[in-house]
Amino acid sequence: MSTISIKGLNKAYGKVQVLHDINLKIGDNAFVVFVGPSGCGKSTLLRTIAGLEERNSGSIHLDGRDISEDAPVDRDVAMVFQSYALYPQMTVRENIGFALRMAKVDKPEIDRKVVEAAKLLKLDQLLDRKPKDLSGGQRQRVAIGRAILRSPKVFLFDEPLSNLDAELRVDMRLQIAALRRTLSATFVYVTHDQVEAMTLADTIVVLRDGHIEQVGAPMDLYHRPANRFVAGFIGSPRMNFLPATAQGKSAVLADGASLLLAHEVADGAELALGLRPEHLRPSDTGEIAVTVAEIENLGPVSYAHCALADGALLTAQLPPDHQLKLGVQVKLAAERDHLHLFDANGARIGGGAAHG
Amino acid sequence: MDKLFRLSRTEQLLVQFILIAWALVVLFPIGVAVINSFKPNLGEVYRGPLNLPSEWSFGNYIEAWVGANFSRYFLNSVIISGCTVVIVTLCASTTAFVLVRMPFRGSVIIFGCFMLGVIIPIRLALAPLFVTVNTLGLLDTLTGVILVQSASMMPVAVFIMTAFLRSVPAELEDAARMDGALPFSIYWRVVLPLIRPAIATVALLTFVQSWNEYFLPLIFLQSPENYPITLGIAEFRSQFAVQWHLMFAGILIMLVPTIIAFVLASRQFIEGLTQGGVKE
Repeated sequence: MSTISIKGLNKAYGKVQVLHDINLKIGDNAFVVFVGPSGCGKSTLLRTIAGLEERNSGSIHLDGRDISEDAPVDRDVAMVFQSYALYPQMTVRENIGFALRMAKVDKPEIDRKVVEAAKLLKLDQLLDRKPKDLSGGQRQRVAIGRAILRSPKVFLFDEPLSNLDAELRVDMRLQIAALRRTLSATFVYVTHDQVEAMTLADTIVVLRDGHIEQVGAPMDLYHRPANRFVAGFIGSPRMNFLPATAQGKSAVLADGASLLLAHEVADGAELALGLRPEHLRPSDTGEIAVTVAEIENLGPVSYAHCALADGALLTAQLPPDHQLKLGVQVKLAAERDHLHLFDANGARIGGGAAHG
Repeated sequence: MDKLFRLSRTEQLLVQFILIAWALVVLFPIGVAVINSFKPNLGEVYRGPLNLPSEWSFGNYIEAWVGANFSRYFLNSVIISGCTVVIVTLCASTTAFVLVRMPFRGSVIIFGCFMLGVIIPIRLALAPLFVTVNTLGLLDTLTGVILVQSASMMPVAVFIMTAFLRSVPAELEDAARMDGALPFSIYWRVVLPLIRPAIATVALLTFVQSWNEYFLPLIFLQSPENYPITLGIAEFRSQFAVQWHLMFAGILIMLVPTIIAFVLASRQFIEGLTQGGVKE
């Protein structure tokens, strides 16, 4: 068992409030990812769970036990840091075994566990090296090994892959996913990379300015973002937003073009239409007139960045064999079932676009 | 490391010339001292101070060491400098650790006081210091001198240590906290090994400063049996007013420990002066 329950958590640095009334339940053996832009409080929330930051109010329970006042080491959590935070003067063996040494565990027992963890992470050939003699990926594995050795109920990862190059990041992501299946524990993971969030998480928590914007399964967030912020944050390339005015069951764009909506909105209401690039395609019967400004061919897909009459850019996904040329005028058709509607405050209107 | 810029051949020659010339200027008095310390009598020193001795004699060193009580002075200096180094490195590193990593209400003021101490020479506070040492009953004791010299070195040492500690990533200490290390363990096992260059720098500066200190022992010590080597040399001069060959031997004996200290700590010392600005 390893469930976390956070109630009414508030945290401020001096006068700056960084976490606002955070309420969150994390289930047993879940993989939860906190995402959000820089400064949204995701790392602070993680560090508060770890006990590295003091909270101003609220409580954190692990399996029903209030750990809010406990020292980091007594919370039954282990953390992997962004900079790996390996002790440079110690060998890999000493780094991994440090926590057990602090806990005054017998040396043979430490050795046995270190070798066990090293085998799991394929570090057994590197045990006598110092961190400076390791590659980025190896260092990250040592950092994970150090966390594993304590057999915690909860693993906390603070942007663990952001210091690695793109190729290694994919590799380590797979390793973390595999590790998660091996270990019986809850994983809480912080990242600003929504691809990492989508691929690793059972549950994503989107944060902005210290508030939780939405909690849900990755595909739920993708298909039913609670507001414009989440809609823009989840999905790559990001969702297109078009300002429009409601008129009966239609939305009228700035250039007068009209799109049929799945459900009715009060006449005259200011809207933002959310359209993912994959739900926009060039079509003679399309409603949105644009000029192709840029084309990115990525191989399996291509993206066209198209300019509206007012200069705003829309991104549309194209099939790999598209014939589109720069500068031509085309019409884009939006898939009505995948249209997201947001009101003037950015909140979602209706339950549309729920299709997988 | 790549060279920042490359010197032309003429520039190289000029630079080498300046360096050699400067080395000669520095080495000249030491050379004179060495030559004259081996001369068998004072007459030879006066006749040709720059000439080599007619016969090389180690007798002056033995006479200075034994006859002029130099062994005693030397031992006192070793005790004073050794204790000062231990006290300053230990106190400055722990102080810096707390000031940088565990700031509390008033820690900025304390740091400010240390920085004032860098600017204000300890001699300005001599009168109250004398009264304090006297009240504590430490006048004319090695302990008194050790404490005063340690205090006088603390500001610079704290300054160097705090600057260095700030370059140590705080995540390392967070990791140690997660691993269950208590503050002292974090300091001792994680931080201390990482600030070794700063410790070497502080230890070296403190050693050289306290080894060469003349003024503070002069004020706080009265009995010749407590004199360190600096006061011993002065004593020596009054005893052997014109015995320059013995005097030179004494000076060279005094010089040896600082040279050894520099040789031992030079690599770490240079690292300590240059590291911190660039993160590896």
